[in-house]
Amino acid sequence: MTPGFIAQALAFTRRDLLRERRSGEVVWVTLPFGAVALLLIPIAIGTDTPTLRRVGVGMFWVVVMLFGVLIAVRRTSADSVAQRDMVALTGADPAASFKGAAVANFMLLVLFEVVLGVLTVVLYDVDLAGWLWIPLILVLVAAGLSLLGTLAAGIVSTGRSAAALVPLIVAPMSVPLLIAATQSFEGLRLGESILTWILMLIVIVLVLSIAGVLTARPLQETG
Amino acid sequence: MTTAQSPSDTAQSSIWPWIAMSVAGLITLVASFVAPADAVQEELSRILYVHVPAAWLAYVSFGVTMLASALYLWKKNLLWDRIAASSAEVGVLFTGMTLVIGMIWGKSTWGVWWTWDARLTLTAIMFFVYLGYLALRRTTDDLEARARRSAILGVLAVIQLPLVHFSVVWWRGLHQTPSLLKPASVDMDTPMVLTLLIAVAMFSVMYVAMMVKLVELAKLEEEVILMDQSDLGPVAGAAVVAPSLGGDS
Amino acid sequence: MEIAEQWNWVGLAFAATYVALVVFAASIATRINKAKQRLGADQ
Repeated sequence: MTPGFIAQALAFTRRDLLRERRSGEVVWVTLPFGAVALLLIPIAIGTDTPTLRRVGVGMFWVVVMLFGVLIAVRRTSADSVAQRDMVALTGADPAASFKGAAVANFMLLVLFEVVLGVLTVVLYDVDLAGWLWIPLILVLVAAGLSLLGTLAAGIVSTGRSAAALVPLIVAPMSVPLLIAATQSFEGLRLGESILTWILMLIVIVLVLSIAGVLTARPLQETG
Repeated sequence: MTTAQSPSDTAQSSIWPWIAMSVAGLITLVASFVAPADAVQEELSRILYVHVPAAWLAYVSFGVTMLASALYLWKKNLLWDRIAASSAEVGVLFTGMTLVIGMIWGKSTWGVWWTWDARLTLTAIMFFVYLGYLALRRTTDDLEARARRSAILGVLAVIQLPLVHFSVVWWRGLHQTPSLLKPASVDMDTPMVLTLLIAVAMFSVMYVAMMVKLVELAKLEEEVILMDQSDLGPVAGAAVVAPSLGGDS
Repeated sequence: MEIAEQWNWVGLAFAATYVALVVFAASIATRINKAKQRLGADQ
């Protein structure tokens, strides 16, 4: 009897996380890369505290959007055509494969955000208001970005120049995430209501989830 | 080895699209300079006669690409893929033009090359979405795979588009600059509106003309790809040797 | 802004527009010819 959808998805999540545990690419490469980016910025734009305080949150989110998506990219190189064909032959639901991968990417992205977030607070001397909301925002953005990245990685698949193409595709479409993320932090700083932005994040996550499930089978058939 | 001649080999490439395009371009030019100058913007208002049509076509091209993408996924006919890709190419052209002319307009009218108002920002984002689409098409020569991947990206872009639009509009709404800086905010009197409509119509003619030629080109390039693929010779080549059976031979 | 300077900007905008259109059209025509040559050469 074929395992249920959730069981299948979790199996894919486990596989991706195991891969990460063995290769350590996110922890040893992607994360440090993002950290270096945060380090380079003050060197470029000036190290005076008022400037850095102002741009800190924005820079953090830009680094998350551009570099965090590399977490989803690594899947394109890890999966060979033969491996994907094997998975398809098992009769696994391609939507479960998508969801499983997205969840794995989500978890790694949360780790990415937390580590870089701490670094940002330290390097940019950011004042964090609204402690309670921040975890929710981090989680929602990570969910949205991982869905977007997994989708884009699925579309690009094993084509040439996947490494830069996936970020190129994701970047313009990540604008709603970027705006919602930065505006909600700004709202917290000013003590204003951020419900609109939270709502927008939730909508983004829902829309992308549905898009991912709908496109999973057509993408699998493309080979 | 002779292959059957496909229609595109023997048919003469029609020059009517080029003629139509030239005429349309000429009409736009004449209309733009015959139109009266605006009271406030004076001669600078003429820039609108290329800026607005370019912007209009940029969005139309986008819509056609997305629609054709969906139609390809439904009908699986490569013609829809050719239309989608062609419209994306033209779309990049018109979007780029919109941005450049917009910058010229901004610099001449308001003294700045760029403003972060919603429309300009959205156009810039759209430009990069197009580029991503075209870049994706370059990653494989497998016609079906390329068509399907592009189509799915097209549909994904359409799904994300409302979110991008609303988020940018809300974001700019919070930082509203005085209405002075809104591009193309001129009081339009009838001759101007008429000229603008003519310009938009002529640009649309140019769009259709370019699309006709681009779809023709897409078909030809597909045939070249197929020709290249079939020219690769026997599948295994010299690597496979028939087993030699015992005895003679 | 003086009228002359305005016409400069207008000229720039139109030049950019029409150059882009002509170059793009020319590239399409060139690519069509190239493809036809390749297909014709193989026949």
